[in-house]
Amino acid sequence: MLFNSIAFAIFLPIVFVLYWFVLKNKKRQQNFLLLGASFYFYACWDWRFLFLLIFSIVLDYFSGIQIEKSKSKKMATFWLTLSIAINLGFLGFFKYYNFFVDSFADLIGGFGFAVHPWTLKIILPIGISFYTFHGLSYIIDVYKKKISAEKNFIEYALFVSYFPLLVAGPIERATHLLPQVKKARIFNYEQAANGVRQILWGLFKKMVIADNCAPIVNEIFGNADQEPASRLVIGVVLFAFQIYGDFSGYSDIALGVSRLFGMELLKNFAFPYFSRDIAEFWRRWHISLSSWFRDYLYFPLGGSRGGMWMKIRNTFIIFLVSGFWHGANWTFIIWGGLNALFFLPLLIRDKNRNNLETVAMGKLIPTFRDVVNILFTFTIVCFAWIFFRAENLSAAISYIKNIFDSSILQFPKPLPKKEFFLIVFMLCVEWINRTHDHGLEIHRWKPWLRRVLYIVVLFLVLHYSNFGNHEFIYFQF
Amino acid sequence: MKRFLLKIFVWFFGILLIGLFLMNCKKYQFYGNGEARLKIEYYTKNATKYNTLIFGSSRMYRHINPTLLDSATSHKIKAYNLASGGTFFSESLYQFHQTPIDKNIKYVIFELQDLMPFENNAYSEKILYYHDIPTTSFEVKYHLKNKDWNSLFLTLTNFVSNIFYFKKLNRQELYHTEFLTFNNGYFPLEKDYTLFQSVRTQRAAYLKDTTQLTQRMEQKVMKKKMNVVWKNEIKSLEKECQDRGIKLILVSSLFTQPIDFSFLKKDSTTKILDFTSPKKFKEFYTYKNVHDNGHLNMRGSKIFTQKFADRLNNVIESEK
Repeated sequence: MLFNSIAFAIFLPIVFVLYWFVLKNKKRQQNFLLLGASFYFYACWDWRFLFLLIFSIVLDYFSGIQIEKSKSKKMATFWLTLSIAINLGFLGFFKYYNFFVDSFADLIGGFGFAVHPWTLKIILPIGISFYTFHGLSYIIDVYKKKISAEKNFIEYALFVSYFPLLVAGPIERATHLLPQVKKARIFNYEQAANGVRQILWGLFKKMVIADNCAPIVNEIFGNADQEPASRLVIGVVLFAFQIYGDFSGYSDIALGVSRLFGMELLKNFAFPYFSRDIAEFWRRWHISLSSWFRDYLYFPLGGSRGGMWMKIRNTFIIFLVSGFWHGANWTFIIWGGLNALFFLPLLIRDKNRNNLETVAMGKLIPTFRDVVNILFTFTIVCFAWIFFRAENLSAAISYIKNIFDSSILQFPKPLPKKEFFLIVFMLCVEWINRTHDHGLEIHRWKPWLRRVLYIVVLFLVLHYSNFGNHEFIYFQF
Repeated sequence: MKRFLLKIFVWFFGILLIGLFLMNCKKYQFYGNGEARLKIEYYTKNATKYNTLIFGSSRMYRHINPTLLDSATSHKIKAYNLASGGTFFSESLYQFHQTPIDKNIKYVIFELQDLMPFENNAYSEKILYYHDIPTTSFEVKYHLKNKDWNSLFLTLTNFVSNIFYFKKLNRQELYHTEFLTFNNGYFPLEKDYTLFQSVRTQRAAYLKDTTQLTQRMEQKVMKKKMNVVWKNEIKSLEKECQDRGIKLILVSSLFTQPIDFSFLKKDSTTKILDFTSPKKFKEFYTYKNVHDNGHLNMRGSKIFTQKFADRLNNVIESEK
């Protein structure tokens, strides 16, 4: 079930009404309802994988209890290792099996041995990367005694499989979401209204920006050899906004939907294309994944404590693993590596925490220096996106080669005017509200002006939406 | 909570009103079917030239050549083919009701079909636009009678989607308009072969397996009994034509399942032309006369139009 589908438009009000009207003030039943709704939501894709999700929940639930019960550190470590191994084993099998087998065959083939790899037609269970990371964060936190093991199975199962975040995040932490699941919820008008606005903004980004950019991007990347360089540049710029609209749009809808049920999820995006350097970009892009890797990989590896060399090594590990998390393809690994390379100068000069504040705070117009920095950051991010989008490494390299061509001076025909107009509109709205959670969270405007903006956005959603089955890009991860 | 629900309701109701207004704006009535829209616009401008209109699917659009029909009936018929590709029964009905039919019109040739949406239309804007209140009401009653809950849900969803489909404001003109004037709205599939992927796909499927056509010829055919809602709709179409002084000619097309027409009264002025029998129309089940498994080619349509004209001449004669 997609967030931008008619099925979801029917599903959500039914769950909402049952939750607040039928089961009002009955926390246990409300949780049970949300769990049932989440399983149904997941089963709409493929009910067979529901068993895998339930297995993962049961495994981590019992592992958590066993870790807490363990009398010795050794025993606790055993349960932790077992749980991590099984979780990553499933993830590895479903997501990376064919990649490893093919890569091994290519490597052996390079030495002159012919190998016929035994690949499998494996369907990737949707959301596996997300719910596996939910479970991992929980058992690691229990092991580190940051939280105590959850005894209530329904509440734990809801934490892992809560439908707004189940298939594409944000990747939640038990320390953040579990206390909300355990607490009784009271309907809060402001929270729910803000949730509806966030859903509207998410739909705009997904259905208007991402879905309108997608066909042009597909056409340009699909005919990269025939397109002039100027069109290739347009292709990658549009892809940058497609992936932003797609993923941050999904996150906005997820956060907004969760607010309707009185629960706050972790913020996943904070207007990343207004970043002044790559470090700021990564503090604003897919925040829940970046912080997950920071807390559960970067810090355990030693973080920045072991001097410059350790800092550089750990940063590269984080980015390469992050790339690999996105998919079993060398293009994602190179994408991760490139971002690490871009990060390197800031790291060496110790300037990676320079831009912690929002750009042009308290001002409407940024300084010239800020504009240059934003444009430079956006350019290098776009360069890396070429690898992210390309089918394979040779396609990415050929795309880049073709950009450095004299046809860069040609006027790009046809120019996607409508798409650029919509992107500029989105950027303007987000720029005005860049200190808030989402584009439509406006405090200082007069009520009538706010309503005008809501009407305009609603109109654009209804007018420019590409209806049909446009899945979210991040479902494949 | 009440305040929240009230606000949601006010917003929803506001958009609903705008949507209903747009749905009823004449300008947007055919946004999902550019072909039909352009044909109707063309007919409206040239209405005085014609005394016969043809409604239906591609089996009317690609099979009946009005220019040939006119000469084969000694110009007693001056037809314009308003049929278009992928059109099914509800859509044809909607098209009939929305067309400003001129007082010159003496005959309406209307293709009969079951109420079965085509798979590739079902989830596209093609199916949305004609879901206005009367068509939806007819479909709802029909599906309720058949206890077909899936189709009922699809119909209601399409009705709601049509209201909220503001993209209709952005309708695009077709780049190809040759079909408007080519032989008065008739356009053979061969001419669309280079333009449309769907035509090429169907042709390729046919060339891959030409036995389907002969298998179809050998199949036992059973007359389909339609439910009372469908029958009533035909009767009201008949009455509407009678009131306007138009003779209604109902057609059961080639390559389709026959329909039981016994419900029409014996004294009815409506004529039925049934071309469903493969045994009677063997020549249309041969390689040289078809373009794909469900349509004639230009040569086949020429023969078919002649046969159709012969039947029509009988109808005209019987009127004297």
